[in-house]
Amino acid sequence: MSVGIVIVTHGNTGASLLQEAEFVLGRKLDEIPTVAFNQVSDGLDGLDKIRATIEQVDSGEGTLVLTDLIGSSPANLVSRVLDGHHAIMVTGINLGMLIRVYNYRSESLEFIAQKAVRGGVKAVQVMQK
Amino acid sequence: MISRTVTIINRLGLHARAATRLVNCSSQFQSEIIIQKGTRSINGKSIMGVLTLAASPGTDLLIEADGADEEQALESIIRLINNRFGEGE
Repeated sequence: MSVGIVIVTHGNTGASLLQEAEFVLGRKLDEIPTVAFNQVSDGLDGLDKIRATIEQVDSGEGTLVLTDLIGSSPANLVSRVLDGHHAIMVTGINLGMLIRVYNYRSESLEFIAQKAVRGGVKAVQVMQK
Repeated sequence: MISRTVTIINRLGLHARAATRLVNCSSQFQSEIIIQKGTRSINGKSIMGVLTLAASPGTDLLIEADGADEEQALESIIRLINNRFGEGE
């Protein structure tokens, strides 16, 4: 068994990131569902979709939920359903974070969450020539 | 410096577009705007600052305004929040 992973983002951002991570890693990333939140049509209805997806992937080891912008609706809705679930949310998803998470898939939920943050931050650098 | 506490009442809380409206409102004024949630305080003219408050419905925020136009600034910000950021619900 391994930790469940769910991606909740504005629109299709999550699906696109997942597709590119699969390209980089050269393999299919199994069982990472994405929830595409639509601000206009979803509203609070997104709560049920997110809750159901978190429960769907939790095989007993908990669920890591990756979201995009802190304080925005996808992240705010996820934070509302964390209560009552063995789940951790990490905001600020990027490709670096996603690849790092997948490489530590067999570790504990808390460990992977820390790895996600470090992977995400490490992928953000200032470069100049 | 003047301050007032206001409760977030719109259905989705202080999400991205609402945060943008709040920052746009704050930025119209010369006064410094500080927003506090519990022990955390941020610059009311910074979108990322406002977003990191992650203020859900029911959250109390302390709005502080300091400067020549502080009264108008505070009044406008409180009105925006109480008007649910123009979202209608």
